[in-house]
Amino acid sequence: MSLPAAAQPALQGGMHMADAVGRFIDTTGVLLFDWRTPVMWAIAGVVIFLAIRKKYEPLLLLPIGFGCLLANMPGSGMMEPGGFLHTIYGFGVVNELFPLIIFVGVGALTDFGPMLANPKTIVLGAAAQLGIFTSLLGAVALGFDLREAASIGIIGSADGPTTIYTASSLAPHILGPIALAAYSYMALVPIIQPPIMRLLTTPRERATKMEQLREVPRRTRILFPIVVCLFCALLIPAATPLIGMLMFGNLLRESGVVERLARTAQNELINITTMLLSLCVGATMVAKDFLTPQTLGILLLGLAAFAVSTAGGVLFGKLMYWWTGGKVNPLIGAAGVSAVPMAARVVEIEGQRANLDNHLLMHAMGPNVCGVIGSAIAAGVLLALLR
Amino acid sequence: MLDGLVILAIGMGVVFSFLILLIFVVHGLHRFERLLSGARPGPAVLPDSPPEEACGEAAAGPAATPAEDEDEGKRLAAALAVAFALETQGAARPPTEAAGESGGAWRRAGRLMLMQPPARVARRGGQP
Repeated sequence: MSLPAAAQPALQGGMHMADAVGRFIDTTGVLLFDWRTPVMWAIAGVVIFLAIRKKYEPLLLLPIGFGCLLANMPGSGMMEPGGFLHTIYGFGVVNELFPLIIFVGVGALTDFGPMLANPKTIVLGAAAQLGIFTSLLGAVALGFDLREAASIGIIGSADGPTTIYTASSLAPHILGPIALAAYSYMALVPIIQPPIMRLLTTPRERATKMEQLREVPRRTRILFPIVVCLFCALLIPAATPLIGMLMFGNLLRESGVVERLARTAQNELINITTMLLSLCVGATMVAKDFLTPQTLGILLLGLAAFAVSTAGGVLFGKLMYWWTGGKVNPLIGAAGVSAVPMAARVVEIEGQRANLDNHLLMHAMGPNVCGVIGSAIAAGVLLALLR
Repeated sequence: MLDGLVILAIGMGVVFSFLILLIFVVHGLHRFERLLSGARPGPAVLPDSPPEEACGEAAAGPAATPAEDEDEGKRLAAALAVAFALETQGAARPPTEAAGESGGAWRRAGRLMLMQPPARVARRGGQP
């Protein structure tokens, strides 16, 4: 058996068995192992545990955790130029492609009917973006530059693709902790939101029953995504990619003539893209970038962004409660953070705690889907000002 | 910090303005619809049409059949929703109240029962 051609000159030059073994050992991960490696493995393990055991956003946290594990295998070079994770990252994250494709699927899954049936609740989707901008201020106060601060603030949108889209454009070096914070807190919506909702409302307000929603004609549902897209392109062009893809997906759904495309967007397209995006995002969590004091600041500011966004929505809901003479339950304001449909479910549960006959789910879906539009607009503003 | 305050003011201003404009756009769409349907009534779908996972083909497409068939379809959908709700929740209590007597009202009542997940289920993954 002959040796590979590349090895022959070395042997001709006098390489002994001991040298060959030494060379091989140099290429193993053992010598590249430092204290940060097991720490990152432990972090990846915690993320995978949360996904599998606790079922916290498993569709996202599982690939993020495994991506983190792969990227922290010493010597594997998967996240270095030429590595396969780096290639996928360049193909779909750097150029912001994956979040946009996911938005097609989100649009195809979203029912704007409750929002169209009760348009006044649209404004709650704006109030719940308050956390984005207040956290931006907090991040600036902690020493982050404006682009980093904007990327941290967008965690408060509770919208994964929007967060990744913004962060990969403004501050790609902190994308890993930002995505981890965003998806972790989205999974914790049922824990984070209820105390804030109860603190800011009275039992009487929480027990408010809302009128049944009216019917929305099919033609209105079809025209809505087209008109919104046109308005967005005219007023906030920077948000048009996000809003455009969201509305395209929704038009697939509502048109009723491209069921195959709608089903693909709702299933295969969003699933494949989510898997690749999450794997790449996890792979950005390499030790030298992740194990810094900055990461702790990002996690804390992300939590604050979520809390302030919830409070902003609920307080504006209270305002609408008084303004409408008690016809709007202020709890639905909390659903103005995106986190579809979890935030709306939390509103339903809290509403029923106050009044067993109170069904707020469909009323909360209005501000909930508006939160998706509101967060995309907020991202557009940040990109227009800072990119 | 001043830059941050400026971004806060512009950002919240733009988000509020856009979504308030959206309210007017939606009202405009409703008016447009009323204008058209005054001349030629068109089919309508309920705003709270359930997700595909819950009712499959039942949610797809508007009903363009005579009123009797449509009502029968709604009654069938109502019966399916109630049966599914009972199966999922393991409860023996059918919806006893619905706002109205139409098939659609009972379908909504059945679906509302279906959409009350146990508290721990709410933590599970939803839309990415």
